Amino acid sequence: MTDAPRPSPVPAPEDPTWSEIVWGQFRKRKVAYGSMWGVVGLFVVAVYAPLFIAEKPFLWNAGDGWSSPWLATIFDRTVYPSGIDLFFNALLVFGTLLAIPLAWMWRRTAPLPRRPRGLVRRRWLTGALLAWFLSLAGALAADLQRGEVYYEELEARLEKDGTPPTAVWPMVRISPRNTDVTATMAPPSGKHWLGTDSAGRDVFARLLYGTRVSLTVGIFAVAIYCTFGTVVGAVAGFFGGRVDALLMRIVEVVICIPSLFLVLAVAAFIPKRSIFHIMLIIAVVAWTGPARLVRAEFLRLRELDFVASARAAGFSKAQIIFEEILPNAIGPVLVSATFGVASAILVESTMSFLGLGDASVPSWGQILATGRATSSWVLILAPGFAIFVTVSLLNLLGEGARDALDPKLRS
Amino acid sequence: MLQYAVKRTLWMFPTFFLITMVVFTLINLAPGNPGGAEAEQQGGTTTSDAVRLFKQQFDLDKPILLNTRWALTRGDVRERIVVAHRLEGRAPTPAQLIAAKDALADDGNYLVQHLVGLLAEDPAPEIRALAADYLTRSASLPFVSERIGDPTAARDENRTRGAYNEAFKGWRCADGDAACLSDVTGKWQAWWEKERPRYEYTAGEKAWAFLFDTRFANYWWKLLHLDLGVSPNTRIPVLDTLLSKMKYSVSLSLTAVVLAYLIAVPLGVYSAVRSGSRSDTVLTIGLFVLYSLPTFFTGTVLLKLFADGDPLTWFPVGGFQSDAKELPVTTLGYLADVTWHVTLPILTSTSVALAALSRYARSGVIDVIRADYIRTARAKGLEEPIVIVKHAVRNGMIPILTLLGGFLPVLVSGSVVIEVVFTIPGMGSYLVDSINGRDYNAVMAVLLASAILTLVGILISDLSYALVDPRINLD
Amino acid sequence: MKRLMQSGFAVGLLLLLVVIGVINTAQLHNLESRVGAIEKNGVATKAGPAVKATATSTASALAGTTCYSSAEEETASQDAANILDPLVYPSNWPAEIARAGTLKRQVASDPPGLNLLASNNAADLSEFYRYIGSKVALQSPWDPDHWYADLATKVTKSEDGLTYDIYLRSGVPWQAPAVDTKDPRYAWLAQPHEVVADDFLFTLQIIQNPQVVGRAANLRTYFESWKAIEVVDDHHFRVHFTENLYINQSVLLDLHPTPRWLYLYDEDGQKFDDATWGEKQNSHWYNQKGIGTGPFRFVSWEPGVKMTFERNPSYHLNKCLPANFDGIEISMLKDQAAWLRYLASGKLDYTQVQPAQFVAEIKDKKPYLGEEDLELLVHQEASYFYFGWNQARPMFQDKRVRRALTQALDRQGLVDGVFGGLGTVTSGPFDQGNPCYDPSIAPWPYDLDAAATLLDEAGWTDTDGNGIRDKVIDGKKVQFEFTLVTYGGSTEYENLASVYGQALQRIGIKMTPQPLEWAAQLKKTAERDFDAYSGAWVPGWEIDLFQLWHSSEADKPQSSNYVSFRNPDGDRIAEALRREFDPAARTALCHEFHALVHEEQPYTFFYQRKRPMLYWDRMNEPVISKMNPHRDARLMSFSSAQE
Repeated sequence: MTDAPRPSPVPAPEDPTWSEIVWGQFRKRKVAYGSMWGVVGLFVVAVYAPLFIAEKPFLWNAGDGWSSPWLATIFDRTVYPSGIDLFFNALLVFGTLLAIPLAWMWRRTAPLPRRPRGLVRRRWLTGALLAWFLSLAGALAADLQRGEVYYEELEARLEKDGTPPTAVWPMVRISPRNTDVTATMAPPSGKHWLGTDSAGRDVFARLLYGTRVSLTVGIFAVAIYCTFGTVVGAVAGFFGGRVDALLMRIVEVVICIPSLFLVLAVAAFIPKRSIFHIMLIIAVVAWTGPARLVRAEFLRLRELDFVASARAAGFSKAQIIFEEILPNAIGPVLVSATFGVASAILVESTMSFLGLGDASVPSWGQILATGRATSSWVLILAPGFAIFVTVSLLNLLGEGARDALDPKLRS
Repeated sequence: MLQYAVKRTLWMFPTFFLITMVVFTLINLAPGNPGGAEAEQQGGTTTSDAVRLFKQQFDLDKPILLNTRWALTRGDVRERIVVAHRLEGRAPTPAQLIAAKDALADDGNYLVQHLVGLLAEDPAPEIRALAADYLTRSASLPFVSERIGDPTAARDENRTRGAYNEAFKGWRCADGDAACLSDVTGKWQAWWEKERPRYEYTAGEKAWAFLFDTRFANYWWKLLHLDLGVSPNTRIPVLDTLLSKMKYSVSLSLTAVVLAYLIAVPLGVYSAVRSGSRSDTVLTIGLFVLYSLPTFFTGTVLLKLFADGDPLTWFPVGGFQSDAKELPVTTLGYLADVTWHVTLPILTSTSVALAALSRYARSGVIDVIRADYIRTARAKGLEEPIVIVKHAVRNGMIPILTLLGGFLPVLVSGSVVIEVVFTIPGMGSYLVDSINGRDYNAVMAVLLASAILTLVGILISDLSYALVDPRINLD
Repeated sequence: MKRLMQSGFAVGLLLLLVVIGVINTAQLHNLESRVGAIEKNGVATKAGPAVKATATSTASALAGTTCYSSAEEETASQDAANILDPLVYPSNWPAEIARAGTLKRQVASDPPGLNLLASNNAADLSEFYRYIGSKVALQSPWDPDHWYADLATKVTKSEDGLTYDIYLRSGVPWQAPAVDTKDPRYAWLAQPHEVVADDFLFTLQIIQNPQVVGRAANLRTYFESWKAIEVVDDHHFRVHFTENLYINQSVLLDLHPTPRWLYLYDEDGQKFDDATWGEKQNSHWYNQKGIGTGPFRFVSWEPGVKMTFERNPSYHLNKCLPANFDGIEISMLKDQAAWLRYLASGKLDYTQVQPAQFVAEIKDKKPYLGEEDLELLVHQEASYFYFGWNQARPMFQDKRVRRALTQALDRQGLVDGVFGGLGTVTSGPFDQGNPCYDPSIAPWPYDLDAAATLLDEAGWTDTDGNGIRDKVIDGKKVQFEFTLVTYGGSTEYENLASVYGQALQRIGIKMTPQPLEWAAQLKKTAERDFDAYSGAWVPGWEIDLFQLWHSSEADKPQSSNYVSFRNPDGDRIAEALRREFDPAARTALCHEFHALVHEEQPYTFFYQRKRPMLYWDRMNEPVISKMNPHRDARLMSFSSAQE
């Protein structure tokens, strides 16, 4: 007995996968494609902000050898007290370090032929991600706190003493946290490009570092609630019946409470607000969106043939949910997630504007509130413009993704 | 169809109940007390009666959802007394001290049987003296609310209870007075013989207390009698304040919604019909910009540009209408005055609604225009305007109209941001103030209004969606 | 058919919305005009004697002169036993006062009610009550050690200080209540009443009734030494005290009457029961309205919008201190950023200015807001700001540490930089204008090096190189880290906390600011659940140290001695001050206390605020009162008649 001839496991090279189709459609839309690069640009700005604006020199030699205060304090909790800063600095340092070998390997793991080499690329990606994650965990656990050395003053003092040090400084020698009571509400000048706020802090620096806060809040809050909402929606849509009815009642309860109301009530409940609580608050309010979307998709998809055949083939329920249906249902969730990031940023800045946000991190809404109280055009327009740019880029991206995913708009 | 509508309406009630439970628990758990807490600031026994009465009046002495006070034991009560008065060498933290004192004050009638037991049998004289002291307060019956039911009957009941409470008011002793203590003990014993059944709870009473002697249950009891309560901070009935604020918010929101629809629909149609042309591109970009600007930014900029004198002062700096002396007397003049005041806020709120709506309108109409039946209509030789109005608009507007139901709750909760920026005393700022001041009754009242309207709005949305779209099969 | 239903449905919905909108607006206007009609008809008094809108005096003619409002008062003041003084105008009394026009001003939020006893305690309340109410005597706003005759013409005191006799002015009418007396429901309020001694007795009864919550509950501590009020006749009553304390006299002279004929009855005229009348005061139907015998009469109050008053033509002090305006209109403007805009557009006659706005728009920027006719007055407020250190926490128990924390704060720099120069750094727990404040005690200077040295001396050094000082306490190494609780509602506090945090970081202390909202902050300080907090006190003119500084108050968890200050010298001074009557001796005791807290630093005293006030030049320069309240609109006036 010979085995029946089996079809080749490698699909013909002409048939593109679904993700390739979507990606192709996305690239054809110039505006959306451009906005994607815009968002990447924002991300780059957020990650590489310390390269541009920092108070510590890159290189320092006061006569007793070379050192790099900038690098030494990049994970120091005294200089960067917020967890957000640590996260982005980890991206800055370790991410860049890991990106180099990754980029080199990218070309070499180009998909051709697909299956065997594709695995390798995925392995490299996961390896890089894991390495980065471990380094971030290490930085957080180390909890470095070595005290603050004010290098500018040191330099001035040494120069006065006649032994000037050699130092290589970043382009703008300012920290977003340093207050200066002698120069509050200063107008824009050579030293402070956008002037200072009511405590003497540099506005431009706060604007730049505020990008970190906004992106973090947007992305993390969305990640949390999309995951949670998807799971809930999947369970509700797949099992139907009473499970569905119960979960949908809960969803209705949450929807019926006006979102700002819920935000205020939960904010009152947590007196000490940190940026993580704010993410939680946004997640609590917004998880119903993806839940309903995924549920609708599941209700539609579970009646189709491929599910029936998977069931007949003996796949377990979990397998069916996660491997068969979910990949098909994920499209609308991704679109909603992109719009969700934009709306999360708006909610966070509104909360900061109303005084409900986290006061220890620079937030665009808070700068605007100061601008309104002191009636200063710079402090009103600058963060407003920043929010506008971020939100519109994300909205454009979302629209592009939606159009790319829509089979009716294939060109 | 009817079946579906009835089923959905019936489901609204348990959903509503759950909503109230979630928000009630949340707001009551938030740390801090309503404004009356300032009375607590002055510590000492002279004010504890006042605080106790305040709490009784607003049910703040009861647990929020479930009541387990009937399960207290004599040992628990003794422990509390010891901690609250730093007896037996204890050194509790201030938080523990306050918690013990509050528990002794709040648990009221549930403590009576244990206090009597302590008074009769505890070996330590200071504990017995303190037990007598606490009994004078715990045994007193709370007054009934005269806002529910028959006020005369309630007043009579309160008069009886007042007399009852007066009877044992003085049965307490100063420290170390042994003669007084034995005298007082005798009095309480005699009293206990008569009043025992009232303060010893049967299983049925315990079960009832577990579910219904709580803040939440009392709130619902008053709600079923259509009493939304009195604000603990201002002592004005909440409903009155609510109605007075609602007129500002509702007028603003309504106008904004109507204007938004009136502008969005033609704009969307125009944009869809001229899809791809330059005017369409300009419009789309303009609306997109509006959509991406945060409301507080638009409002602040408009205010500064047009009202602050930087550079113009065409509009007033805020508020809803002019002062009484300058207020025009005729309705037309009044409307003009209000319009002058609310132009900027309405401009702000309309712009956001407009941007969202017109995009839906445009995409809805575009979808329809590309559909087959439009091609058929054109092929049939119908003129273009007729084609558009008769078929495209009517069908393309379907998604927008179903959004209308979603706007109902916005009418009530108003826009907090706009009210803050333009100093309008509406529901939004009332809500923020109430949450900050822990004005539980006001917060719940606003929530109730919003929740009801949201539920109704969703129902209307779903029903109208089912009505207009033949593809939807609800069963 | 279905198509028709669909379009009909859509059009119907839209129409419904439009109709509702129109009806709503029309209703609004109807309501407004009806309310306006009530305000104008049922509640206003019959047109009183026309007050001439002309100047009443020439320059300096009045300043320094004495004035008697009635012959009865003049006779009484000649009695040597009378502890009240005749009214003497201050040196800065305006030359030209136009007694006409409506004063428009603002407050940030509604008062909790207008019942001075049963509404919740708030400083704002007395500010409103001052327009409509009168007390036994009027404490001179410009010379607070003197009390002028108000409702009483003569007050005498017994030798032992335990009995006071009060002789009331005759013929002082109560203002008509703010209800429509033509309405048959309120017919029982139609007849006029006079102020009698029984009204004062009623006030005392309300305060002593344990069922009354609100401000009365707070006042009870001041009335602990009151034994009884004995009503001798309608215009004479006697007060008996159990002990002769210093505050007895000022509490007595500050007593106001309460009309029994109004507050013991419900809205239909039914009298309350004896058992529950106290509880009824808390939610009395008249609590949202005011009644009194003062220069103005309450007209209306729309919560969150505005409150209006009008001149009281039968004010008993009309001869010497008449109302300077025909009416007062107070708007509730929550958003402080809006005050300046309202002023510039003419909706307000004067307003306070927040420090941030002052720095941004007013300071050195004449003409202010671009208007030639706006004037600026900067006056001291009788309140001081401080940082409180919880002395139950181990790190704050050493006074050297507390002094180091004071010296690490650049108080003058903050006042100049963040608060626009609007304040004076202070060194003690008293108002700087009060004789109790010792001006020779200078605040500790800002000196980071000295602070570091003090910390070293106290045993706090950085042994582990992490930039934060530490010390071994009870066998455990403790890092010098703490949280500062601040009020989250204002940017100034947030800026303050940032600056202080940075300065502390330089000397090796890690401070984390924790902005909380008001309710949460109150809870934390009451429960002593904090490391440090920033706060402010508004001391009265008569100093009593007990509440804030006595060690017995430290043991009571919800008392005002939040920082648990325990000092035997402080206790001794506080107790002595309660019973000391000689002004020189009092001042000496106060100065001793000032020196004590300066040495001990239980608080880091920060500054005493100066408030800028912008006003239109049609107003005279306001006469500022020396005590709190210090923005007494009765002391303001227009110099020329308003149109």
